[in-house]
Amino acid sequence: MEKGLTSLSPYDTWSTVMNGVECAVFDRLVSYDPETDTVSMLLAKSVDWVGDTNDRLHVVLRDDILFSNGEKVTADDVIYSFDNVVYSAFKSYYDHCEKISDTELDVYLKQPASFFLKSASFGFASIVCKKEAEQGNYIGSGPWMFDAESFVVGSSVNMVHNPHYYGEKPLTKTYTLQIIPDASTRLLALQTGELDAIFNLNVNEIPNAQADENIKVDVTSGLTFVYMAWNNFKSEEIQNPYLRLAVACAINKEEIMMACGEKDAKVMVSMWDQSDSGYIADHAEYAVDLSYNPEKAKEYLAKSDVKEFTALVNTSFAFDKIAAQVIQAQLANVGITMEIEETDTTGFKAASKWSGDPKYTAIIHHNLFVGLPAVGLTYFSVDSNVNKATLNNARVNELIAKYAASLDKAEADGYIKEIQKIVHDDATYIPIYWRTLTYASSKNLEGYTETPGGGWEMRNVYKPAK
Amino acid sequence: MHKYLIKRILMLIPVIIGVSFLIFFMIDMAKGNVLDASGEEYTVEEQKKLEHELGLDRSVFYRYFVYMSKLVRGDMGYSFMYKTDVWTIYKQRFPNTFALALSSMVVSLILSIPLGIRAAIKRGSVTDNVCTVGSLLGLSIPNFWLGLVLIIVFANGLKWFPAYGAKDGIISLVLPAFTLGTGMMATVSRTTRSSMLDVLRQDYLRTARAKGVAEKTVVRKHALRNALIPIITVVGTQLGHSFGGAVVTENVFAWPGIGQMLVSAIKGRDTILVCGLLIMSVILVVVVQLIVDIIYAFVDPRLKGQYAAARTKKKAS
Repeated sequence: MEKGLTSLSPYDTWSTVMNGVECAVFDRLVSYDPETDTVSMLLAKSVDWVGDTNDRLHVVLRDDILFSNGEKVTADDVIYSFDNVVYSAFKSYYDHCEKISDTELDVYLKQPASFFLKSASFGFASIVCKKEAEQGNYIGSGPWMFDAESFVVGSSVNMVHNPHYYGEKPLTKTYTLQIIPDASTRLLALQTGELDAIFNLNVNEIPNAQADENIKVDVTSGLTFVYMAWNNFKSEEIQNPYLRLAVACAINKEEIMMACGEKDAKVMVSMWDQSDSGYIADHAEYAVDLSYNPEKAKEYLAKSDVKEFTALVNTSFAFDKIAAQVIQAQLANVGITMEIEETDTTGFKAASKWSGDPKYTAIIHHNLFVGLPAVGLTYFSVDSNVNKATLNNARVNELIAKYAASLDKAEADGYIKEIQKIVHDDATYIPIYWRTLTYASSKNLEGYTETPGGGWEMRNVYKPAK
Repeated sequence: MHKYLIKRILMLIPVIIGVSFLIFFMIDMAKGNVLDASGEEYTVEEQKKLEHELGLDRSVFYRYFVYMSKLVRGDMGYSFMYKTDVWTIYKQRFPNTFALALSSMVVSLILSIPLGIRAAIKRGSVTDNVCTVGSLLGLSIPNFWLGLVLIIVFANGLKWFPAYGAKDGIISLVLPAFTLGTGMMATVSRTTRSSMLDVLRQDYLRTARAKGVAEKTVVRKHALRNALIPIITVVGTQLGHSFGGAVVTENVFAWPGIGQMLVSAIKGRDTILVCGLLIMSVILVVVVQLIVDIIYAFVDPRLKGQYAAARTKKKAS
């Protein structure tokens, strides 16, 4: 991995790569299969909605599951774990739990959220042993456990079998998570056989890796995307929508993808999770055609008083920087001047968060959907730092609440499609492209599966004997 | 000598205050704080609450005062990024940086001093030219490039050494030490050469040769010893800097040292961790300089004489 391992707690900074690791060490209440869109029981024996309001769940736990220290998983552990989850997609909906017995509890939500169980299936909602966690040791009930003695902060940790695991033991005896910041070194270490798998291969190195007969490379369209957003707080600059519409029509998304070296990437049509049935994949569904059309861009621009603006860009990521530079050139072709204000990741977050009274006009950035509606909705939710368009639209807020409360998928899809249309036709968000997700591994590595959001399920990974 | 050592140690105090002050202010000037760097998307309320708990909503002077009041009691503080105290992180990482710095210095000295001496003795010869070009290359070649080339050839190609990490003991040290040592080698060999050239011109060496002393003895016993002072200075400076962490080398080889940690801490605006790591580096640099000063006294009899004269004068008074 490129970065991470700041601690062994599943409640620290979560990433899609660490999700797979956390799912190997810790269990969650439930698991989720994105292919069939079904939630299955894991630590829970049953989970049922209480009443019709979708804001309370009754959970009955299995009583035969042990943590790696031999202690049973109880309601106290679940309550402690949920109270300590930091990830906003979970916290925005979770309120508190009430214990009924050692194996039963009720989970109360702040508002109706039909998709809450999906959120509870991710690594950031892992169930840890409360007693150990209070001492700073994070142990779970999954097939693996961290060898805490081997942990070098920010560098590596070994994983060994959980002796009390209730299921089948993994075929591999141990595995090691290693942080290697340099992308070239990661690939070289894979080629020497010192590593068995690497995440996030550089686009420049994909041909090199593919040419190696001992390595298999998996390039898929991921859930990370590059986009542009306008700051609605700065409405005096963009109140006249024609500048936004002109910019939307002036952007050639394919050109940006090629410039970023991502020839296998996909154009992003709508600001929603492309793996979700509610995603609008066809421009024809929109009332306003904002596909690439420089002549139309000039027509819109002629109606705008404003012909220049500044975009804030996080230049810690090469693809964001390249995208911004290409957009700058494309806009110049139609008569729009875009200045780029560069900053690093931390500076970008500070400048664009709601509590910082964001002063940017527009941003060019990347983010991701992780296959969770709770994450997707944060792009439109008031007071969410992920809502870089600083949207506070009454109709959108109403639709978000309806979407969250609905148990009918088709109905929910209708709500989210309407949100996409509002956002699209106003050009508040300009989605650009879906980045590719690349893994490379030894040819003989088996047993891994993709997790929603782009990580790997590491529970059963192994190398068959030669 | 003791007074001198104590004076030098006491000078550490204003240096530590100056360094820590600068770090606090410079990181404060950069946009964002450790919460922004954490990767979590806090709500506005959560962000404000956490900023208050961490003191981030207070002025930089207040935060600096709190930090220093803990530091004087030996508490280096807690890293928000890594959720552990700074001293634990340092203890875990420093041995790796120490091993890398020392081994790169050994690699550099073994090659550079003999080369530098040879180049000085055979001035204008092929050896001298090779040494000069080699030094220039060593100084010009970027560490990250050299590191990757060594990995491609010796790890990937020949499979003699591991490509990354410190997991294989001494064998893991070879490539990173050579990468880091190359730049040092260039500086030390050039310093050795120029220092030897200065000394070889001296009249007393001509006298020694005239008295029939063998050339080898002239160079080793008479010339080299007098040429050592600038070499020791350069070696000491380089070693001191290396103890602060060789950032590029550590990143290329995923070497779990201080340099790698420092970069993460700066990007993460973890002021407490940055301060702690840099203060320890400062202390080490001063300690190394002290050791260098002590070595001077042994190498240069004139300095020994000065100290002895000062002691005698004191006893007499």
